[in-house]
Amino acid sequence: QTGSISGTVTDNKSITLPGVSVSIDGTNIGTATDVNGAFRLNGITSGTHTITAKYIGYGNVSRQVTVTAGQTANIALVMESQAQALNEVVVIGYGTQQRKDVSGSIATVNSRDFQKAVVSSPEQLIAGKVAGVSVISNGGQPGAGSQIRIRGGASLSATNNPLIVIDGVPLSDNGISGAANPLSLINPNDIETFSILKDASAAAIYGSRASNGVVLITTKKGQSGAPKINFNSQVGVSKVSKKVDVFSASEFRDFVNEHGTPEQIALLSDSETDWQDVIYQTAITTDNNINVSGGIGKNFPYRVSVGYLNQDGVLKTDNLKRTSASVNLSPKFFDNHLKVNLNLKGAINKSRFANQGAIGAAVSMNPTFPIYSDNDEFGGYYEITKQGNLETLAPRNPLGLLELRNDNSTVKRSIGNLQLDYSFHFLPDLHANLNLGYDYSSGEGKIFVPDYAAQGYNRITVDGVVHNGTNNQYSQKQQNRVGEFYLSYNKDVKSIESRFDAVAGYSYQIFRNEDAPNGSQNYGFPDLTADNVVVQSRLFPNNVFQNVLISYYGRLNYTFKNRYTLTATVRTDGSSRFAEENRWATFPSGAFAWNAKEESFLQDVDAFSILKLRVGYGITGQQEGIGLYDYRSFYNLSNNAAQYQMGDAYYNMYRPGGYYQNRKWEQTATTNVAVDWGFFNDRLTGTIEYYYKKTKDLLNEVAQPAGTNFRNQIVANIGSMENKGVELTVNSQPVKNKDFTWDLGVNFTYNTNKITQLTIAPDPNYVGARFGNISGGTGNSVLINSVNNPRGAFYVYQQVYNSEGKPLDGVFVDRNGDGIVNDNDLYRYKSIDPKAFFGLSTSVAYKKWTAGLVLRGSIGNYLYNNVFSNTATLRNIFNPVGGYLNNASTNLLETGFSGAGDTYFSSDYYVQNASFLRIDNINVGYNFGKIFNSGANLRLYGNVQNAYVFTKYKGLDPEVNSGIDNNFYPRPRTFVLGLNLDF
Amino acid sequence: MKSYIFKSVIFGVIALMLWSCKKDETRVVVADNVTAPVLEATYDNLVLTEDKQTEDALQLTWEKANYGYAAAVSYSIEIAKKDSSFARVASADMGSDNERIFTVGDLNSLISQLNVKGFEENELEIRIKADIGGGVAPVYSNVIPVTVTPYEDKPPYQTLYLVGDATPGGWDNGKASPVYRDPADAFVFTYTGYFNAGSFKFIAKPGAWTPMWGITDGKVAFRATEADPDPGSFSIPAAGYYTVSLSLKNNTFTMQPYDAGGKTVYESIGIIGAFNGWGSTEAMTHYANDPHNWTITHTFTEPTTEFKFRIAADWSANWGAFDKPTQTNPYGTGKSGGENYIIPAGTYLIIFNDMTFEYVFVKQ
Amino acid sequence: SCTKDLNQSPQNDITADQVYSTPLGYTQAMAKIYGSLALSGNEGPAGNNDLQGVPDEGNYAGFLRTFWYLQELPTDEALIAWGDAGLQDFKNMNWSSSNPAIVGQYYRLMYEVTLANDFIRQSADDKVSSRGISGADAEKIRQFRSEARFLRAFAYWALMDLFGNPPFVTENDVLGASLPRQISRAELFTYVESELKAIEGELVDARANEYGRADKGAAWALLARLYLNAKVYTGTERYADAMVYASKVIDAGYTLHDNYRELLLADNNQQARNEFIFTINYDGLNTKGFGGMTFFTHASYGDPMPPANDLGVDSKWSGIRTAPELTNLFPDDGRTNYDDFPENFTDNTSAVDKRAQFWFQGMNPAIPALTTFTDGIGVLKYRNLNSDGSKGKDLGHSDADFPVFRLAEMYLIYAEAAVRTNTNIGTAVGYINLLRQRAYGNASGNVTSIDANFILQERARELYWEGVRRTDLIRYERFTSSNYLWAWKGGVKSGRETQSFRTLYPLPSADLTVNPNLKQNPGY
Ligand SMILES: [Ca+2]
Ligand SMILES: [Ca+2]
Repeated sequence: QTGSISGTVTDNKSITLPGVSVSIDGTNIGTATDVNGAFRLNGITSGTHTITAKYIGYGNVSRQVTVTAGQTANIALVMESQAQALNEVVVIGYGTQQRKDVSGSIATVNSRDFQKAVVSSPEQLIAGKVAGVSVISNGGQPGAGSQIRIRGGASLSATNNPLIVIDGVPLSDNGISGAANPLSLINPNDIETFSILKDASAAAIYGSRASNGVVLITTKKGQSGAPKINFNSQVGVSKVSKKVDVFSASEFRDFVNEHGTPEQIALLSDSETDWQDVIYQTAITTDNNINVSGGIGKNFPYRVSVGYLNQDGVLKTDNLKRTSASVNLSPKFFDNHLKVNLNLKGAINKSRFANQGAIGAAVSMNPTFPIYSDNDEFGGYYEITKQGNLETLAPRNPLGLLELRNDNSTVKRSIGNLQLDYSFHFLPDLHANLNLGYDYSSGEGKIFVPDYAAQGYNRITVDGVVHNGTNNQYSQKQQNRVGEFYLSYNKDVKSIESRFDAVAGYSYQIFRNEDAPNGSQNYGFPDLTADNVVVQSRLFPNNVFQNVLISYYGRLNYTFKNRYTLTATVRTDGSSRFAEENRWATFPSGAFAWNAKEESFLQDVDAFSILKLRVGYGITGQQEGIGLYDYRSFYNLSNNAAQYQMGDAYYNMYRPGGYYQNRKWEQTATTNVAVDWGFFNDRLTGTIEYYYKKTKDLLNEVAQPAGTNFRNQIVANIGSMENKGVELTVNSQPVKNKDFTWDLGVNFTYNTNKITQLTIAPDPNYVGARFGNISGGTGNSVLINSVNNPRGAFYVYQQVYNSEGKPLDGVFVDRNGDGIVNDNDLYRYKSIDPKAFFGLSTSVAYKKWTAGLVLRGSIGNYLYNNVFSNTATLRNIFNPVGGYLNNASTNLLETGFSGAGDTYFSSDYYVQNASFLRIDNINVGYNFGKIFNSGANLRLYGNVQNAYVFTKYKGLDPEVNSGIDNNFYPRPRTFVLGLNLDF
Repeated sequence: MKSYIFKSVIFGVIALMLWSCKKDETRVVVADNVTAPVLEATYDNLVLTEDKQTEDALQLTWEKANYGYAAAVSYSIEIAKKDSSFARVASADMGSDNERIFTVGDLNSLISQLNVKGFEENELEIRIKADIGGGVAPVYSNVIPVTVTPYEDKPPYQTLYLVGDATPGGWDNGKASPVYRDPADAFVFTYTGYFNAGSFKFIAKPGAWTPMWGITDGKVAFRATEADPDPGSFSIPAAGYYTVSLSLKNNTFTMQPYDAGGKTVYESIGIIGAFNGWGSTEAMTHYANDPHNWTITHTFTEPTTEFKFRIAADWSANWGAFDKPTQTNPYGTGKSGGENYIIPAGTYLIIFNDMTFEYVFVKQ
Repeated sequence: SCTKDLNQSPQNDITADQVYSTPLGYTQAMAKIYGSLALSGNEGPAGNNDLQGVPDEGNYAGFLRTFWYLQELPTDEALIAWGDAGLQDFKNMNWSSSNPAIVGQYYRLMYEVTLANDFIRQSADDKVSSRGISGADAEKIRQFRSEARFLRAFAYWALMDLFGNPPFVTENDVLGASLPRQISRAELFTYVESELKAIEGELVDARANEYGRADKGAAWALLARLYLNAKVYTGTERYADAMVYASKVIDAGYTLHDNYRELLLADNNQQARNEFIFTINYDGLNTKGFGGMTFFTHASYGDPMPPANDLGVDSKWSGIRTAPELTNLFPDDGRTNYDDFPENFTDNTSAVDKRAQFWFQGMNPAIPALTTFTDGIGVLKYRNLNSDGSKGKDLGHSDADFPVFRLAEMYLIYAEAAVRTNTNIGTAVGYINLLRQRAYGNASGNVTSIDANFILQERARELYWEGVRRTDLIRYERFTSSNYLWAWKGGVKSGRETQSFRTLYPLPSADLTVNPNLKQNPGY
């Protein structure tokens, strides 16, 4: 009594689509298309069935098929690509949702839209791609992390980093020793999508950690069918595109001859050394990845991948080698009632870290000195000595700093989870979902500096013998585990035109960090010289930090008539970071979406293909970036270099810890209003969103009344801040025909940030909290957080210029008119954060050619040029310590500043407009199609990363996260050649 | 319509880029024409005397300079000799103040830097300098002329010397003879000894003809430099012992015959002290026709040395400081017996008068 | 469920009950109260700072370095060349209430008070016995408790001297329960006096305690200093009391160390301990920091002085030096050149007054600029060398201890009080001549009569750079007035009268913001 259905699935250009899920409605019968887009379903009861094909990025297609017993019905299904359409499936917290039902603010970036580049850390794939999300790398070091800010961030002292969840495993915000950035242990090639939850309605299901947004990363899954192999290999060549503009040897010589005393002129030598050329190199990166995916039988899809990245830094001796592997198994059992999803990812990073002190040393080192001395002292590197001793305050030989420091680490990380989704036989709409995940990492490293190196000079004297160098090690282990269980119920009640989707769950997370550093703390490894003499011993072998987060959460989605959607979520979190009475907090949200296009009066209006209004409000929390235990006072025993002598004995000191019992959750209320729109059958789509975020009870380090606590400042819930912004996203396909397509996407974000309160009671005399230490002098800072101003405003003197536009040394406006210039004349001038930023991605495809371009820009962000202020003074060249000369930024020729005193550091002259437009990526590719008659598909491509920056900023690079540009590791320009083989 | 929208998108991006480069910084620039401060001076009379040191003498007020922006201006008062174009100034930094009241003492010590003549009228000029630093040329106020009569608290000489045919060294200024000083008045230089009939002058530096004091038209006349007119000489009518005295404060000269009859004439007087183990004296010399004024040049090497004057024979006649507090004074009137002198290391010309017990230690 | 897992504790840090369960715990907590005067935090040489919000730990968070900044930089004794935040404000006398050195000193002293209060609470007899500690251990804790009260009195004295009217908390205030009230300078004087008198009997006898710990001598010395300055603090003179307490110290058996130039060397805990009444202890290996003696022994050196290693350090920081106002107080051949220190810097045969330890060679005493190290006169009073010429244990950090009180100051206090009250002049002259005989090596520097001005000068000669100058100039009404101008006073080269309210430092604006009970000192 049964027959079969077979067929093919193609897109509208008749290209076959593999991996499409094909199922018969109202049954559990289904399959996936093979590599040729073909499928076959056997054992179908005769009669008329509705068969549905589903594929991510394409609209679902349903067709009625009549099956006759013993026969095979043939059908051809044509799917319409609907990349931007509302039918897209969106990964949300604890589940997925169709785009049309989404009421919150969720941005998704799929792998095909990633930056086409060699990146060592996955977040850089989406730089410039999403409105409201800024991703700025921390510099050019291999594996360097990035600052990710979603809608400006919601916190002051606590972290502004978003919560990152990989395949359902929320990551901790901690770094791991030995890795520049923990995300660098995730192979970007394994990532399928980023889903960014920006507003409270979307993110509140993550409750207490969602104030700064949530980034959900989903890795690639297996597709059933015959094994498919993909091999990708790329090689990159990186070079520094810009150096700090300092005096050349001959310019330096001329300057010193003109301005120096005879003793200072005598400090010149005869070499011509460009120290920046000496420390930077042309760096090669190779990145090879291979993956296999397919299905074992019908119900056992798998994907296995292996990758190897070997990246040199442009700073000599910097290197990262990452070996990574991932496995995904997603079998189904019990008539598909039990779906299993197993993800295992592992990586080993082996790094050698260059001594980044060389960057500043190369700027300052006298260019008339040679690289090498003609003797063996200091390993043969030329070093500055005085009266026969190393001049310890002078710059070290930059190349010696690099080559005589061996700083190696090995970091292993594994992230895995097992997700079991069981739909009950008696009630298939009810699913039970169990997710057990872990994120283990271990890092260990060794630092060796030989005893002849100048950088390890004179570390300790024992019995009159001087011991030099370093032979140190460190290790760290992080063991974070998560256990979650939720029930979901999904019901379409046609009779009342309603769809329900409800989730309720429980989550337990424990974060354990076992740290044995080589720092100055009282725990960890001893500090040793190269010949293993103890410089400082430690009291404890390590320290264990542990915190726990327990949560209950629920969500209800209700859609009426396919056009009115209500979403409500609630989460209750308990954190071990707070005292019992403040431990628990509840974070609710609600949203409403109106899919106006579905209204009868718009259904026939062809101008709009999408018109949807969304409104949401919710409260999220934040607890990261603060101490783990300090709601109570704990006594800390001082390290062995901080003992006190009483009588003939030295005692480690017990210090009572500061505490703040009333500390509680920081809370952010977010309002989001959005319109999604589409024209020309979705050829032009976009979203405009307005948000208003108000954070109260800021976890903010504030002053304690003197005498009332063991700290004079402690993190308390004081202050409030708001972020307001508009985000605009436009995606379009201006040209689309058989041979030629052109895609263009633009996103634009306008954000203003204002601190509205910083003290318990309003205090007009409170100038604010100063921060942002700079190099030069000690303790000079240039930033301030103050009420009614944006976070991170510069707090500086107003420079006075002469009529030729030259800044006058030490002359500032007496803003309060009391006749003298002092602290009271500092003013708030500009701020670090941009007023607006934008990204533009475009790509064209012509026959077998593809090309693309990514631009990124930012407007109204300012930087303090600390390279100028710290080096461009006469006092820097002719330093008062005497006995040696330092090189300087040629900005000195513009200012002629003497460098006396501390006020010039605070001149607004050094606060420079760092608005920019960066050509992030240019790429070209050619698809050779099938080669070798083997069915293997070959694609070759090339790209340029960080191709060019347009900016008025006078320093090296306008993007410096701290707002203070000093000895920045330059972001190189990289040329990449790659090949991609599918077979 | 499609292309219109796409063009709009591209236009929007370009507009953003332009916006990002627009100039939004305004700079404060020093005015081309700075308004100088305006000075006013208030005073009654500027005859300064030591006894009125703490009284107010001169009030200066000035309107602030205008640099075209809210400047922090540093003001200083500059005083110079008239018509010197402020080539050499005595100045007082006033910070941001715009008023200064000088006491007699303050003003006197300030203008003393100008080498003004004490106890007589000096024509001076005052102005205000306004400075904002940063290499910007200072601006100056109007100039107010004043006439000030300052006082001096001590003359800048260890002692004076006699030169002339009436004195032991004749007109050879390299052999001029040092005089004594009045411990009660630092401006009074005095000498008691044998003079030939003839004339003499006072000079301040042996071997040099200036500074010099003589007498012109019956008044003490001062010759500061070679460019100044040469004053006349004081005259000794008849050979004999005299006490001559010159006050540099009052510019007065006195001369009294001195009765040396009955004064003991000693064979030999010398210095004795720790430097020679208090053993025997190191002999001093006296002038050929004056057995009462003794001189010696001696180098003391210890940080401090105690010594006395004594006749060569024994302690039957010796002289020292008048009392303990005056032990370390470099000049004065001692007494028979007396306390040890205490002298710091160095080479000294020592003179001693065995009739008046006056002494001076002139550091060489 | 697992909600009890929400109670988490650190692994190595422990609670008060655990700390104070053993006599060793009490000792280690007491070490912190002493050590808080020496170090800036719980990690040497830097890190785990006790204070927050100061822009640089080494510079601004320790007691001794900022105390020295506040006491010496505005005076005629010291100049600093650096562009570190706020340091030039002192000479310019234009500091504000957010000057980091002022803020650091204030919070350090209040922190000391807070630490002491905690210890005093924890060491109450009933608490100690409830923890099962008795006998000799309990007696030692009782002594510690008196010493904690002494250290609190010392911190309050410094707060009174520098800030006048600080917030006031004692062990009776429950921590954090209420905002501290502000205490007036005069009332605080009474409190400090009463505390010192209350513990006078409980403290270990003078010179009988372990080295580095306070005893009766320390309490008497602080009382003597307190009474000497009573007129400034309260408006009422207490010179007679100053003489009484200076005499108690003088009669307790302390002796002047025979060589002045060994007072501040690396091994001064051995060489000079008989002169020291109370010290802040440092050690190149065990007590490392960038404040205190490490600061003195690096910052006062620069070119053209001898090589750093010859001075017992690893580098010369080219920061602090002095002016002719100080060097002119010495006989004018008290100059120091490298040749005068051929061996180990412990002697200088050409100086009449051995206390003169100055470096003139290559320096410009005309001081054309404040921020040039060579403008001024070098000071070699602090050296990380032992008296036998060998170097300190670690070239990066000094071994020398800082004498907060030493016998010489007691002589000077006695003499000044004697002169001001015109009593016991003979004894006073005798005490002064003890100092001068040590300085001159013989009686040649002895004096027969003294007056107040002479004492001020003698204090400078004996105690320069030891952190008393501002207090002295204020007592003599010369700190801000035109009675005495010195190079760069008020930021102008010839010196000028400055605002009289600057005899008190401002309370940090940060504390005024969070504690409405506080009123700022006038003028700020
Ligand atoms: Ca001002
Ligand atoms: Ca020591």
